[in-house]
Amino acid sequence: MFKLNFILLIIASALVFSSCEKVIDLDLKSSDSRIVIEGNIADSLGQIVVKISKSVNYNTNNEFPTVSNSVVKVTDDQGQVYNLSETSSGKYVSSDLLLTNNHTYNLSVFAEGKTYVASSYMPVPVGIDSLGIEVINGFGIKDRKFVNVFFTDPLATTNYYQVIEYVNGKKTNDIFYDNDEFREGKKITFTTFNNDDDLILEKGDVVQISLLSIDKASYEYFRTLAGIYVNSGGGQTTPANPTSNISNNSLGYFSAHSVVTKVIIIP
Amino acid sequence: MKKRSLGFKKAINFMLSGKQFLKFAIGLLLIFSFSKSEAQQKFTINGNVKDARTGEEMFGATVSVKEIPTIGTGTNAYGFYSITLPEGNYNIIAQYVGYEPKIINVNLTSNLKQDFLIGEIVRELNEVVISAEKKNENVSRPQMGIEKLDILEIKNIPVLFGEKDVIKTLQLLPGVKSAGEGNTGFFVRGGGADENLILLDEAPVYSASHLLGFFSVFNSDAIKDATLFKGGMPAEYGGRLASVLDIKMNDGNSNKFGGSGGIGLISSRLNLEGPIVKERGSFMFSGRRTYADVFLKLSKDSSLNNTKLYFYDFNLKTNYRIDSKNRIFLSGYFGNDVLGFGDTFGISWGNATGTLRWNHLFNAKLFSNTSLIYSNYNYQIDIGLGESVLKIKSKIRDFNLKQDFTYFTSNSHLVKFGFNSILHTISPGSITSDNSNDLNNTTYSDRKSWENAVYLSDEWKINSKFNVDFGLRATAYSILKFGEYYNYNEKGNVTDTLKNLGGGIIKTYLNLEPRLSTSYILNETTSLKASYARTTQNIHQLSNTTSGSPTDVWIGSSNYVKPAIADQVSLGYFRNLKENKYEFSTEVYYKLLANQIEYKDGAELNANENVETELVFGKGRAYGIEFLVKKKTGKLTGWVAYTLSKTERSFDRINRGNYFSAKQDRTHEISIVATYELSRKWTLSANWIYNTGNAVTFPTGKYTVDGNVISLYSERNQDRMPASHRLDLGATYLHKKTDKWESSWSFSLYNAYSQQNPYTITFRKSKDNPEKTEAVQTSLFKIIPSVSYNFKF
Repeated sequence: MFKLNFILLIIASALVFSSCEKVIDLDLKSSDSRIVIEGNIADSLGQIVVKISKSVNYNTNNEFPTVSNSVVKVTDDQGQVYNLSETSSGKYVSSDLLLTNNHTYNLSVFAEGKTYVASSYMPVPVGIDSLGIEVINGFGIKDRKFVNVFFTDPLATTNYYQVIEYVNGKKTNDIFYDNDEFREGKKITFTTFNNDDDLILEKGDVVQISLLSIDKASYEYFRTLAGIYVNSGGGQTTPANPTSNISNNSLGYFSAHSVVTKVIIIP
Repeated sequence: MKKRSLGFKKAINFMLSGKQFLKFAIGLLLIFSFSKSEAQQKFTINGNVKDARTGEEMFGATVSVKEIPTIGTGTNAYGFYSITLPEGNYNIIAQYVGYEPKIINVNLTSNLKQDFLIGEIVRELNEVVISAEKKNENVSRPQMGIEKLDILEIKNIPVLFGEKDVIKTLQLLPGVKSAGEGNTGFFVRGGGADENLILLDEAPVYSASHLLGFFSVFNSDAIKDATLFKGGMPAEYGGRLASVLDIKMNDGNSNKFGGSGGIGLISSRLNLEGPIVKERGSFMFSGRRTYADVFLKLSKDSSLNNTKLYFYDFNLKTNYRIDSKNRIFLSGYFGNDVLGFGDTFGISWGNATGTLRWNHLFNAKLFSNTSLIYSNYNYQIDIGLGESVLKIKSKIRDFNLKQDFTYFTSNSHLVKFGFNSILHTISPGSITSDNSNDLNNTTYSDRKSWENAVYLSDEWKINSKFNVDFGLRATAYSILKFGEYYNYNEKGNVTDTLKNLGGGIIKTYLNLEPRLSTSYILNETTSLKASYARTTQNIHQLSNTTSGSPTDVWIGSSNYVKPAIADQVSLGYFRNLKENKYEFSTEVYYKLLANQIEYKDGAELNANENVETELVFGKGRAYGIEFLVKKKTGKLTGWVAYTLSKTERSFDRINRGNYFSAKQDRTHEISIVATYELSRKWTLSANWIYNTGNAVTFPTGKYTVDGNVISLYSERNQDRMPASHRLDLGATYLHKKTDKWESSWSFSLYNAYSQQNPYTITFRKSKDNPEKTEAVQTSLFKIIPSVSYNFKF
């Protein structure tokens, strides 16, 4: 909420003026390879994409085996069935669809002898009112710019949001999420406090913001994912795998969402 | 309705049984008083033991009778003693560590009041200093698992930024572990950081740290002494599982006006004290503030001058002796931390405590203290949202009435009894904005609870070899009907919400806590000790970081959260060597814990009204052995401490219910502390510490989500941080010393060989090769030199 942890992190790291970092070798324990499912249904794209891959041991390269020849199917609450076909290894797609919000979509994946199911509700989209710039000064940070996303939360529904930021066409790595707790029906300002020191916004940068309306289970997934992605455990907190909405102990998520996009050029 | 009346009944029953308990206590006292009555006429001598220079009452001084060596007593927390003897002529001796013993000859023909004024030992160069503590005190007293620090002892120990700190010195003792490098949070014998009852003049301090944990809230200028109970806790203390840290403020010099202070790298301090009415009343005022922000403001750089970063605290204490039987004390603490930048973000937090005490002497043997105590901890976060400001506030507040009696029944029995009644109010939080377009202002309802306790204990000298201190504490924790209240099912889901409750009690938890400490003296220099204590805890802190955060949530026991219970047994062997020059002790302990709290994976602890639903409950065990060798006299003083221990927890939903290492489980812990008086002007000091790393959870694999590399975790706490070790050096130069003015310079080198100890280890995509991931160790402090100037007048 409000990226409080991020701000405390900046303060703590600024306090520690003599702190230093070094890369170390650690003897890490191994684990069995587990299946990872990333399922996305976006209303505006008219497309369902499901990626299936597997986990690897930590000390190996970032090459994640894909899982081919799976049977992937999506149904909606009106009885419509979408069969996905594998367009590249581990990537299952169904395109040119007319997807409507305010409906629930059910995913079924049969991969490597096991069946995985999930369901996700696609909420009604929430528009972006405008984009602005937030300038932060203090604790050694000088005139650093972040994008403010202004939007109006609809009254009478509990809303969950995900914000995706693209800088000059490239998606940033941070996981941004919010909900309307305490701000039901209010004007919400969301600042994309980026934790990546290599990504400092400069004058002329083109920033595209996508505001995703997601359901509660997807929100819980991205909230818990962000918790381990930013701090990565580290001995100060006890990390745990994110809360997935997919059955059978699968990693990953299945999210049906509606998307609204706006662009700002950094002044 | 039925449930409600049951709750009441239980509470009433308990209060009645409390009365029964008091009756029983008084009965017991009468037995003790009468059983000792003999034909010979007996009289009581009582009074206070005080510091001759400042008039401060001395707690824990021994008063003994030269003619009858088996008779002796210790002064209570207010410096009061009482001894009953047959008519006759006696030499009474009062002694205290670091002070010249004082002998007064009395002719006891009636009850007598006799105060002792004892003076600090003045050390001369090359002189062999004789300790004035009754030499084998550590061997003969029944208490074990107790560490007492005199503020003089910590003066020369080098610490981070040169800010001397009671808590950081305690962390160098066996069985006490620091919550992290440079951190004032501590773990005692496998307990959590919230399982320490930290008392400042009897008032609980909920958050004992400044500046995200790097400094404790205890200004060493304002503090007289600190006592830590690790096991075998006396019955007068209760409310936390692992330990009691009892810190007492200076009363203030009742003889003359004086002061002290210091200028350091981080902060400056000033302490003033003096008599209000000579020998009847005195005051002490102490203040401290950091000033990094003052320099930051001078900077032209907006990345610095916009930064707010400071803390301050004040201690105040006054006392007044109304007559020889009545004395009142008023003491208070107020401190605050402020962090932030510009109008964008700010957080402030702090404690306020106040204690009003009344000492009353009913007769020569019965001493009473009545205290009214207030304690408050709160934090506030301000977030600037364009035109408006959003505020998040939370607090925990206690009102506490405490009555303690010390009954010097006979020379072989010292009986203590009393009661304690605390009203806890936890305000989980409110979130408000001055612009109603931004926010639905929300205030969570307060949670109120009423904690009562009665206790009775007897320190019984059975014979010259065998001492027993036994007692019983009974506690009742009642959840009060107030505001909104939730019921939860076993899975932790809300089953119903009760609103606008009209007062009364929802549920009362009753607990009996037996306490026992014994010592058996084998000979002049050797003793064996054993103790057992049950402790319970009803106020719990939820924290998802090792070192804690000012916004950590406190919750009380509820229908769903049960009181935590600890049972600890310990055995000790105490031996003094070379004419008490060296003290050796070893203690083993085994502790069983019930109703331990842990949060679920991915729990949301902040701003969550149903935070109970994020918790799981389980059990724990902790065991270990501690060794301590201390050299208390001579030019070289100090100690070597070693702890070998294991701390485990078990929860049904974590690691399939198997026992796993708690995060603070550190197998080996060594500390060496040495102070050497090189000359009258120079004192050198050093300490070296080594400890095994915390138990942590490292990834066992990785996978990709949305193009990011995500760590995969398996079992909780199955990995270890690398071990840490560090050397700190210090030197104190006594610049000037006269009767009117004393000044000194302190120099220190923290982490003298610049060891890069792991503070965190994080995992990320390699910066050089994006095809790889890497583990990155962050160290907080490399070598840190500091200097401070201290003065006293």
